[in-house]
Amino acid sequence: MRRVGVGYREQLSDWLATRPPEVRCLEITAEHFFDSREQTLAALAEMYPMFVHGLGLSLGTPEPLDRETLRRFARVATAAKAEWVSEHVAFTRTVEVDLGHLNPVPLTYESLQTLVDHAQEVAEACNRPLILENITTELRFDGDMPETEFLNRMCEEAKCGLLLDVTNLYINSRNHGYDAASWLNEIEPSHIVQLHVVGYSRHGSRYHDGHAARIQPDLMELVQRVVEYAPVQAITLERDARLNEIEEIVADLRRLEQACDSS
Amino acid sequence: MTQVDLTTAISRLLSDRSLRENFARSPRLAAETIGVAPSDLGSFVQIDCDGLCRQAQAMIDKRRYEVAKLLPETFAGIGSEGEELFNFYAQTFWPTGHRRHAIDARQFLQFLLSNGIAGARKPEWRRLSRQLS
Repeated sequence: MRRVGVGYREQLSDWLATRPPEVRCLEITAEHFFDSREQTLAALAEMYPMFVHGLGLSLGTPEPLDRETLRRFARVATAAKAEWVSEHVAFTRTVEVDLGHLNPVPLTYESLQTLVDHAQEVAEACNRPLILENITTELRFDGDMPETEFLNRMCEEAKCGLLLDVTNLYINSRNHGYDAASWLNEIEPSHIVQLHVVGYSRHGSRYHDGHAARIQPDLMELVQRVVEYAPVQAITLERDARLNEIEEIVADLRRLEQACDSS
Repeated sequence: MTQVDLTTAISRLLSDRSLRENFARSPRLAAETIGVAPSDLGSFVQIDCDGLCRQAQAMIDKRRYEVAKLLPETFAGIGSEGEELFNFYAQTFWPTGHRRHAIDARQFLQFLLSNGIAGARKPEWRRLSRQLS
């Protein structure tokens, strides 16, 4: 059964407490709960199926994972009774600097092995399935294989799934000049477990992930294509701004539900 | 010199504007300066310079967006100079940890106050300090 829901944000807490029928699952950001707040997690877990999404484990870093961050991440996953946990195909830090931002990993055999090793470590620490998300990037570089092959191999070797951010796919395809549908067709459909989606932003000819807009029609077409292609289990509307626009959020959730129903 | 892997080399380029400028002039010289491993040299010198700069700026813009949410009065006070001031500051300090945005905001405000920038709001510094203690 496909479920549609939102990313938990404090500004949505009152609305979510009313258990709106359009929200059938909830994703929380792990780092937002690192400083305790386990009671809040427990209360949310009573109301909704939960997923835990990380930002700072930096699985693409070619050094050991930070033990304290991993410990906290696993603690949040347990407290939330998460069905699965997720992170990114990216690095945010090295031993020299913490960039605090998701950056692309080189598509090399070395990077692939680093991700596979770290993915297995995270899944084991959390005792839950792990899925990994594609990111937006202004930076692309040549590697040993195309991105789609990299993601397929990563999922197969790490025994993890893919969190397909459809907005990120759309943005990258527009900024880097390739066809999103063709990219999708190169991904093994069984890997795709969850989707992220939110309307994109645009400044001139460049597209950005502002996490603030309604889902545009062309983006919704791509979402429709994905749900027809893959056995997606959950879709998360990933709004970070304009969170007081509840009617708008509900409208997008209903459209996502319709996309699932018609697939 | 210790050889540096490709990911670490990319992180140095993303975090160091002068290194990016050197890379734009001569990728091979930048690779020598960093000490990129020979096996990664081919991929390193082919990195798209424009994309690199856009990615680096995207990181700074994201930091500024988060910091501005935490320092609304200060950003209102410094007005149109805020972007340039933050871009300058952001090259000198990289916050760490899951409270990075609050740390970044306090550090930026400290930078403004130390440099006597009109518009910086001391009460916001005190609020952040309490929050981080």
